Amino acid sequence: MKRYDLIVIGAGPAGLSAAIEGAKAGMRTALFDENEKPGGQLFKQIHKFFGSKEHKAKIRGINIGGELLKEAETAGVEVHLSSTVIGIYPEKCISVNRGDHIENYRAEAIIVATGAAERMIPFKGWDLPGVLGAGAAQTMMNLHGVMPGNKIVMMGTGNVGLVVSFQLLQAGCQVEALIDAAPRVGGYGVHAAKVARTGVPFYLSHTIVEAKGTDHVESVVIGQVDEKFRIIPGTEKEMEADTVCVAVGLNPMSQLVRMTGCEMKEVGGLVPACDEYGATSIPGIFAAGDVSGIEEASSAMIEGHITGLAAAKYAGWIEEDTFKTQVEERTASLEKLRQGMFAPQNKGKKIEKTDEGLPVSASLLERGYMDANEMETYPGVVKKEGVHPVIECSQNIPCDPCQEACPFGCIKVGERITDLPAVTEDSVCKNCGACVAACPGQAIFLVNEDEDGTYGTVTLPYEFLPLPQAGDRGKGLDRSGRPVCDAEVVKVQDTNAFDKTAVLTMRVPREYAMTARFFKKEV
Amino acid sequence: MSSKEVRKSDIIIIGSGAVGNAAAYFLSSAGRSVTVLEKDTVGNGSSVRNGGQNKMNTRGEPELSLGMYGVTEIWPRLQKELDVDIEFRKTGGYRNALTDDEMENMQKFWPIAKKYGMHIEYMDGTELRKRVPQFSERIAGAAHCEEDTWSNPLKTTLGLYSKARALGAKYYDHEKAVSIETVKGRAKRVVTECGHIYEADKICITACFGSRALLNSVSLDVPFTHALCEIFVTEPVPRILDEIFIGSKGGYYGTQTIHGSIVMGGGSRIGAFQREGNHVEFTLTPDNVPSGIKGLTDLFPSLENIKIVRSWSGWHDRTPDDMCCIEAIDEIPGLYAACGFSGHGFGISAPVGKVLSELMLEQPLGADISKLKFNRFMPIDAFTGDDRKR
Amino acid sequence: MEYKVFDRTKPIGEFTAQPDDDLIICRCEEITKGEIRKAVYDGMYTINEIKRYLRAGMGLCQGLTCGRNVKDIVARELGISPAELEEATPRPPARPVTAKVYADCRGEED
Repeated sequence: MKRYDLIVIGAGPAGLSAAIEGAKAGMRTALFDENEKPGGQLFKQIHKFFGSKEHKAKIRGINIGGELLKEAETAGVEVHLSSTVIGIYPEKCISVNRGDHIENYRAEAIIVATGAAERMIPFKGWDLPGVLGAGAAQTMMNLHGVMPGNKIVMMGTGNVGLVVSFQLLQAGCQVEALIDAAPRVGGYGVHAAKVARTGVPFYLSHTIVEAKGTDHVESVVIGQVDEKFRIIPGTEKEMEADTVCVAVGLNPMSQLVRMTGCEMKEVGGLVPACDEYGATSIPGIFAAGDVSGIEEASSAMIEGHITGLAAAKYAGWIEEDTFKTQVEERTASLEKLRQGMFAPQNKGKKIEKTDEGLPVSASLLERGYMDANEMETYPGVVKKEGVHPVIECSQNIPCDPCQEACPFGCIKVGERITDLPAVTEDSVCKNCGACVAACPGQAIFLVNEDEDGTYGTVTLPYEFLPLPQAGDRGKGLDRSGRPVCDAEVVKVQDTNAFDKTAVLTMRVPREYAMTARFFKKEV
Repeated sequence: MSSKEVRKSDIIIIGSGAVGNAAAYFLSSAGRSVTVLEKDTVGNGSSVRNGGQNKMNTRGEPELSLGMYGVTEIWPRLQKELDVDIEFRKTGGYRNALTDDEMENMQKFWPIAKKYGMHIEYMDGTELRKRVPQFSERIAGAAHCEEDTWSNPLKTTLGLYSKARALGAKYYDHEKAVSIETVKGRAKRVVTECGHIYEADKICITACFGSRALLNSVSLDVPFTHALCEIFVTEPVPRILDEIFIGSKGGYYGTQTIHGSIVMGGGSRIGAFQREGNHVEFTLTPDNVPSGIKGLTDLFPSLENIKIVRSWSGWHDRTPDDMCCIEAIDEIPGLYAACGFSGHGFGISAPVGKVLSELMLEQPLGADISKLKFNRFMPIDAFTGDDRKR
Repeated sequence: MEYKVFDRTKPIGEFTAQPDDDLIICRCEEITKGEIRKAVYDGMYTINEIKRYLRAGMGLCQGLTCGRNVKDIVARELGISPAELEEATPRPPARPVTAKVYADCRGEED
């Protein structure tokens, strides 16, 4: 039987990173993935990632995938695509479906990085065509160029639900509503805000009562729920829709790793009980990424590196001290991501205050956008003469590209990347737009509250096609997506450095400079 | 349960497979209080890991009486009496030969079959393919046995459990019996791994390979090995045949179930040589299931694009003559056992359970089990090399 | 991890119908919530038993979609946390494989 030093199952962020480490250590490494394209979910992540520079922040997932793949190839990883691992057998042996035949391989060490599958929740009509996972909708759009539907109801306001809603809008779909049975938005506030400002209504404490239709979804009935998630009679509301996207969480895809007979544990999904480096209870079998516990892709990458190093050490390819130094570095980087109010240790907890002691915006959590009067609480929102950044970032999320983006030192996050960004006091904004394009949460605006006594300007991130042009007239929408004033586009910057986040400047009546946050062209 | 408490009932059954559950059902129906001890969870062993067939056409003669009792009386009765549809059907079955020699060999069974009232019809390949066009051109001939039957092993095992439980049988999971104790020469007590004690006047062992250690605890033994085998199932496809099918040399066995999927398994030599350990989820080598699937595509070439959805494994408790042991043990009154089914026990599980209940209820037996005693195994005749019979 | 051991001798009450019992849970095999709930009262206390008794999770997706939901329903009827129920046994093939492909198995001879 063909024997490798290291076999990695799953070419997502964790698997690719693990394989890179193995190959760099000199191991003959094979990486198998069932998909035609590598990268796992990365290649459909067209949004910019959070984190710090070391976590590849402000780079789009699709580009991170490309970088990782290149790195893997340079390191000498044998990448086998359209190669589904169908079984793991005793003696570290795997069976792979190579398309027209089955091939068996053995390895000194196996790293299982099979990721996760979408969870579905059943409701009346959930088996109608048109009900699908949000991730599936994302695959249709971003990998296959197919619109999943025209009128969408999104169930779930975690990051997946929010990000996919935004991408559905980008694809030209109409998102009718975002629904969540929980009383608060589950994902990052900034992701919610960028969806809300386009006019999508949020229904928290709501669930889907029924998807109606004869042979596909034609309408969706939603209803409000009480604290025990029971539908409150009389609150039902029917809306026209042809598609329901379900984003209610992920299940670790642990079927393969369980075939090894390794010990498992339950942490909101069945995962292998691993040590801190990803070693399972079976010597030589490791797990990394979502299969060992659901987290963001950025964390999965670091975990992959650590597990790759652990496998290399296990099989005698690196020495103990090399392992220690390298793992320490990676662990520190991982720790940075695991801070703040969305850290794994805070899962399910109701956070009332930021690390800075500021109240968390209730409006943001309940409606998807912040109230204008809550704004000034946060250190990123200051009133100043002339053009200045307004950073509508109110939660401790691990992210700091804004601080490096500003060449003039206007923005400061500090050492801890989960701290709220602040606008520094005596800095002068040169209106370059770099911060606007760099913010993965699209939460930075450049505002001139009073240009000439009548008008102000708002510079905002804009990721929709067709791109408006200078001279276009339309409406300025507030944070809830409500048209509040007339607006005229005065400038659109779309440079390579901005990486497809256009920076659009609109002129609005000055009293709306702190209100208008989106532009809608008149048709 | 405190360690001093003793749970009492009329009868203790050790092992909740199809045989144990069938016995529990018949005994509960007869008004006896029954306790069933299971080392794992209910029916998680060979009873739910087999192909569901009752291959009358390949049974050894000593098992045929039991087999016929099942086909004519017990299986039809369960189909009616249980609360679930166990999908029992008198499907008939094809035993397929590839050569004239194999064909000739199969015909030797005819007089035995006749003796037990079975109906076997021999045909050439052309006739076989007239009846089932999908069968491979390579099949030279077949023997059709009218008495071959099928029932759904999952629904049977669990349906029997459900019904026995509803009738009052008490089931204890994760309660591994480790020894049987006698009082004044009679089997009386069962001690479990966690120290619990159960008492009854009659104790019945139906614990597959686990039966051996329990028999050992009362200084009895029966020779059998613990062989692992694997089996697989396809997606459902339009009906091809109702009959069960087997290879004349035992290479494969299979059925298209009522659901439409094809369940198929085959022998594996290496299965008998597994490492130590007792876990039922073990897999054999990665080329074992593929070899069975090759059998499927060789047998039905037109099915080459059917999807395989799952494979699984189970243990055989295999005796030297590939036949089971069932008896009321003379040496120890009150002790009963049925084990050593050698990979074809499910098909006779219902009649075996019934006969066990008849033994315990001291009723006349519905089948002749006199050739299935524990002490039948003997050394070969050294000079001639032939088997000897007790 | 250690999974819950049930005392199957203790009664769990009677099955009572619920308005959403006709909801399909296992889409591959079209098994409803009511059938799953009813099976618990028939004595099916583990996910493997539910699967064997009803075919829930036995279809093409092998429970990838419904596994979690079946677990939730069974746990609720038994009054325990879903985490206390062991999931159905995973077995090869992890994804369905066409017979002619699966039959062509290579790699042993190298």
